[in-house]
Amino acid sequence: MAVGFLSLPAELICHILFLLTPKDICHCATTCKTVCDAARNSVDIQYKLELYAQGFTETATLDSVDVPTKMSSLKNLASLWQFDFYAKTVFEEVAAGTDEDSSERQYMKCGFWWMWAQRNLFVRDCNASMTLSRKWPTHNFSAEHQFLRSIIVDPLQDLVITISSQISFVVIDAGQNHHVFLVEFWMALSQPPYSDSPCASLECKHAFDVPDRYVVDIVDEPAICGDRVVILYYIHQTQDLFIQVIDWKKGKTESHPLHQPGGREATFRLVDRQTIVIISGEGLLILYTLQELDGSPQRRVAYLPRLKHYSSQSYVIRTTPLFHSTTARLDLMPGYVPSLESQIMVIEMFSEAWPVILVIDMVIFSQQVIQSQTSVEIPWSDWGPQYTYCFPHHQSHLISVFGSKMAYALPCARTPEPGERVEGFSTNQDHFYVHIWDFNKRVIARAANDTSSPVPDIRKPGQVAQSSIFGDIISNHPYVATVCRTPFKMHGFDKLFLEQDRLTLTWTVVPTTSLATQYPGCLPRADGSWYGHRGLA
Amino acid sequence: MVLLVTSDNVQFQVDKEVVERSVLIKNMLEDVGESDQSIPLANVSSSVLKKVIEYCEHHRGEPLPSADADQNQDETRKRTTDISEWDQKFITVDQEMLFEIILAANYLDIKSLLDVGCKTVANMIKGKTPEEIRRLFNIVNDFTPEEEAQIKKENEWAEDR
Repeated sequence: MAVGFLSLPAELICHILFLLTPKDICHCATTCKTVCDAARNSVDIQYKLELYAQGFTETATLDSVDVPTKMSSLKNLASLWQFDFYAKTVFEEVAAGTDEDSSERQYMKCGFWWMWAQRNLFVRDCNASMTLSRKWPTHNFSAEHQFLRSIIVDPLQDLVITISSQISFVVIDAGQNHHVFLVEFWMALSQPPYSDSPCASLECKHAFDVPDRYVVDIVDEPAICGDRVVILYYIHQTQDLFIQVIDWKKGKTESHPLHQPGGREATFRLVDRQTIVIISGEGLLILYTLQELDGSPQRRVAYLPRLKHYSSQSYVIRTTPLFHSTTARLDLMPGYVPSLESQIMVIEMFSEAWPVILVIDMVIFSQQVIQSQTSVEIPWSDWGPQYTYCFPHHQSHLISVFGSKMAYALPCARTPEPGERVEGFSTNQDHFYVHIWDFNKRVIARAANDTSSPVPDIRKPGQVAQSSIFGDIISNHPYVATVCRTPFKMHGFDKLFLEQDRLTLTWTVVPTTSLATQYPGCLPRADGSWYGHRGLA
Repeated sequence: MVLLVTSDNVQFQVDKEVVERSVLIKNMLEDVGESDQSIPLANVSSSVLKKVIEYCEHHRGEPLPSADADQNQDETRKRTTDISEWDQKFITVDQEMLFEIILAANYLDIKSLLDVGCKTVANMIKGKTPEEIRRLFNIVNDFTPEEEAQIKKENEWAEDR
């Protein structure tokens, strides 16, 4: 017999398969038994497929770990939120000094929770064990920051950034640069005592066109991705949007106009180092790319909405935190991070009448889509039905997004029926439940075809009538619905954060904030101990 | 000079520097030491060895992948299916020769040549349907219809969606 593909030993067949995409590997595996067995028996190939199925990218953290170990950790992650579960509280702590406003200013990334209230920055490392100090590390940003606008933290870089600025500017010399923001960088947040002076500071400049008195405001919170910091801001008088692109390591900052009105209603997210998504006042979803050298933004794609326009409409974007960075704290970097094309972006759309959430498959923001050099407009019919899910919503139902999953706080323990509008929390409800919905299409397709294990609860959103979108929306894509069977107390509940393998909830009853990290687990035994078959220590 | 003898009993006189691109032969020479004895290559025919020597001649003097750098190089090796222009031209042979070269490179332990061969096969497979792959490599579908339906179902998730 002539020498051919099947003359190769299994290890060489696997060597070749490993060079292929998961889709091509699966095509090869369906050709004949020899190739199929070779692929099945290769842990490297199975691991590659599993990573792809779950939509993860491996980080450098796992470099020294062998493949079988990685495989079992990955399988553990997959089973974590797949079926209904009970929560296991790990610790609870209290921060004092919270005011009404600051409960909004809570964030979480890589197990670090932080909140800023009355110039104090509260930080809690939820990765640490419960036996550690119960004292809160706080940092007081003193009097020189009387114009403090924002504090952003990147635990991965061990970095705190403060942004301060005057409220208004009197401009006599039009065309000249004015200092609009002072950005300061503080290092070693995680290791008290904290330094009391910033390691670097930058003055962001802006040239006003016409002499006048101007008020400048920041849109959302500034975003950080590695050495890049992005501040979106607008001028009250004109509503024109601008962007400051900062390379903090090189100490460079540049202001660019976005030629995009509607500053007050705008909201934005940094998708990666080069990509930002802005929702404009009229509900357009616009993708800008930032150039590598000077960071000047280029409008690339506008996703046209089918929204009814209400005067009081507002949008909130929820996404996964960014993990791209030059890491100072390698120990905080998770082994797996969700890759862009398997993430979802959730947009809460509030209008007077019928709020909805739009779950967007972020594959639409991936590189292949933004190849065109000029700005293109994509009508709703070309992206909406294919890449979005729509659900009725209520503003009291809180949302957190991680990768392809969304945690949703609802007043009921059951999954809402397709198109069902669940009423908001009312005052006589003592408890709420956290639902985890997973929109990863590969996981769902695999689960549906896997006869060897129980199939999770696969739902479809169904029809959403009477929404803030023109006409009815029917999204037929499936998602997996699970619920945490442990009820949580409603009183003072203000935030939830979903991460890879945990859920953190916070409650604020002025002036204190408490925090609880929950791990998914099974039913508690009668004696109060836990039996987790999912490998929880 | 090293004397190689192929499976069909053809002798090749090759420069030591060239032939030492094969880790197998390099180790053999180190074990044997200075000697005029010929090295029998029972798994390699003369037509294949001719090609392998052509490859080694062209790449003579290039650094061999060292054991230390293995991890890193492994990564780039696995991630890209790009092949240099000369290698591409070199490997443009009929399928039988291609697989013979891969087997020989594997046996002789010439990592870079093995990579060129495997990348070429991978590039041939890219984007093809299972049926097209079967036709490409003359693979006989030995699944029963039930098995095939099951396998298809199991692998369906990886399709673009």
